[in-house]
Amino acid sequence: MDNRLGVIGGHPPQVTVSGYPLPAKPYPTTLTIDNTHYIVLDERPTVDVDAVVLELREMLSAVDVPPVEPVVMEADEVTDDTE
Amino acid sequence: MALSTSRGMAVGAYHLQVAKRNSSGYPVGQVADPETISNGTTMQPYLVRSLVSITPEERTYTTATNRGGMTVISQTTLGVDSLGTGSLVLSEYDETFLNFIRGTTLDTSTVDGFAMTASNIDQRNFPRLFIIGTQKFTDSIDGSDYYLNHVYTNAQIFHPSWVGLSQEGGVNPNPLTFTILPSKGTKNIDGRTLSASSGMYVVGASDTRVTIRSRYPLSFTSHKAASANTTYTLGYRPVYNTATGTADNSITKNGSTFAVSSVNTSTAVVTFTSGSDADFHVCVYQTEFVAV
Repeated sequence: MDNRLGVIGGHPPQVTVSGYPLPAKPYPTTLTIDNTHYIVLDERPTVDVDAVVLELREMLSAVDVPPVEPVVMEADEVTDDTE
Repeated sequence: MALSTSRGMAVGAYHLQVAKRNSSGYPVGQVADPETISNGTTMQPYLVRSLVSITPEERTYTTATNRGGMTVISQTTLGVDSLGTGSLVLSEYDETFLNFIRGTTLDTSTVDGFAMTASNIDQRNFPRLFIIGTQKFTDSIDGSDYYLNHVYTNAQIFHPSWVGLSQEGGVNPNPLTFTILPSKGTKNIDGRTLSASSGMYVVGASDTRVTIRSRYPLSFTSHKAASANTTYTLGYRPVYNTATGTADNSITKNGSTFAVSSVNTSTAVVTFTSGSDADFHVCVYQTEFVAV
């Protein structure tokens, strides 16, 4: 995963959006990329944040895994826990 | 649990938190420009860890005296004629705080190995700030401890002197003293509008300070949402997971109470039903300042 991306409620990113070391927690300003990922903004970013966000969103959508179809068990495969 | 009217001993100087205030009256953390915030941005205040003391401002009042027949017949207060200035003292030279109140940025990139701070002597536009100073409150009626959170709703902080040098030793030999210039704000720290007809019944619907008593110290997080957003993360683990918006944690959207789906006390994630672009969320929560 891109080292600028953090997981909401999970692993933090490794650098700010401009590539600098992270500030102390809690990160002062963060930007949600999607409902799972975020980036840490610099006080004065030295990159075009909008362009980076677009790039990261495209990257994340490209690696989206299609939802797994639920497995439907045949009637004779169903086990009875009460036995 | 609802608190009832009480009295007690207010002591200590535990926490100082500062956040910029935008022109709509909301706290907006440490963003560079309070008026230009991208949708999807989550903002945290800056927690100053070296608070020594806060001296409140002294307001002055205009009074009138009715004197006749060689006696004072009556006196009355006409109103405030000055809000005064307060001060705060820190034990540390705090580069984040010094740059935050000056509108400057700590420069660590021009010269690798240098961290440079300018005095910005010609600065005219000082950030408007929310300031929370927290002290302990020992209740004389139920005998337990609470916290008093003193909130400036719209203030500026400046540093009239530079850092001193001396040969002194001992405890806090070189403290830094700052001036607090209070002004009136229209919103409380929770995003709700101050009102003359409800809540605290604030005359004129604007005020300089609000004091909030709570079981644990308060912190706050702001989130300017994008329409697809369903989460934001608090700066510290909240003590309570109450999600109603009106108990234990204050949660608002666009200044009105907003019940969320959940408040996670482990991950500090607040989950809510998606809304519209630029919805402005504020969560004021009780915490022991454990960062996630």
